[in-house]
Amino acid sequence: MGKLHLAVNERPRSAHVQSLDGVITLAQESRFQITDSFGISHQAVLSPRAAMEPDQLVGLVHSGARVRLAYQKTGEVISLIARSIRVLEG
Amino acid sequence: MVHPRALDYTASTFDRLIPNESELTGGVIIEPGRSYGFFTDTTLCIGCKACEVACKEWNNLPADSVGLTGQSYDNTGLLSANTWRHVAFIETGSAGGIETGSAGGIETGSLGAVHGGGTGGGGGVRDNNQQPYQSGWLMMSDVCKHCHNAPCLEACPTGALFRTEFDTVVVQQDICNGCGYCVPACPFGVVDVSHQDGKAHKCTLCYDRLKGGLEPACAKACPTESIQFEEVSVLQERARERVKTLHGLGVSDAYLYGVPDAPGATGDLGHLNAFFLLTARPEVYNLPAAPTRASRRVRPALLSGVATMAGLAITALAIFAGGGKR
Repeated sequence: MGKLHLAVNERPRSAHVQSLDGVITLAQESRFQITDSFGISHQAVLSPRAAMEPDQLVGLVHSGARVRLAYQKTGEVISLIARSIRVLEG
Repeated sequence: MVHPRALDYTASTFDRLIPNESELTGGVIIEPGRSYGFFTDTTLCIGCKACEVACKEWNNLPADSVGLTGQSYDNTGLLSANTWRHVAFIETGSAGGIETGSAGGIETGSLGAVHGGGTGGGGGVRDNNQQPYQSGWLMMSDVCKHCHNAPCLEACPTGALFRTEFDTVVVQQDICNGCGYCVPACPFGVVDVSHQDGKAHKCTLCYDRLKGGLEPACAKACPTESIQFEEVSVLQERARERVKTLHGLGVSDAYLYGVPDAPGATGDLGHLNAFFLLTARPEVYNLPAAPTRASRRVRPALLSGVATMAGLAITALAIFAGGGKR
């Protein structure tokens, strides 16, 4: 798990990028829900700096593909801020 | 009263949408080309926040305003990019004066300035009946007003904000570039740009649900019918009848905010598709008494700026000309 420090003004500045494996089970606009291997669902928001468009989230919901989510936490909302989403299997 | 069609659907779970479900839950069939909105009767609101929860749940909105606001029982604070419904709690004192609450710092709830009624108090019929040290509450579920002439829509340079076939105003997320022009344009402080995804967000009046024949989540969840969803013309008529009824019951402070020729529907806004029945001054509920469109202020602002620059230039010329003679 990398410990990248943000170079942009996203609060909190010291938030580390963490990762989570799971399946995207729900998507609406840039907001989505990812369910991990323990069956726990987490709410996430796609960062505008992620190399992905919100429209692509719907495809991941329909495919049910396992993905690796790189995320950060913020003190402003109870939600993960998705920095990248990588498909692990088809 | 249960709609007769409801007897056709007695199961607990369904494998498909009920056709025109809104007819069963809200007594209205949703059809494109008609104008829909909310009538929020604050005299019926009990502050349960079911509307807030239903909105968050349906729209998958994350919890924000983490922590205590210190504002009475209102821990939501205000409408934001992640909060599209906000139940305001306004505490009134035993003498009828507004003491504390999310609207903040309002001293009196007298309606006299609004429509000449009332006897000086925000508590309505309870004004003179409260026990010492007992407080009363005004509660209002605030939301985007979906203005007839929407200033946010006028300010949007990309066309992300558009008017739907149901006469509501929605932000298209894939077109919004996060410029934020809509934020100061809204006279009600509704639109907000999210720090998380960099786009503007606000209530969509559950556009996706309307397209599926469902009434908005907040109206469906409201247990007291404080939030009513219907065609705007029907709601306006219903609201006027409600005001008459309340006046008959002795609540002389009751009035409508956002219907034509009433507070809230000023400054060329036309009318508000989401309007309110209030019992205190609009400011008590954190609503502007006379909202206006930002576009109306462009011309006077530009002219005053040009006039100021011209005055400064003439003054500078006069000073330099005077210095040259010496």
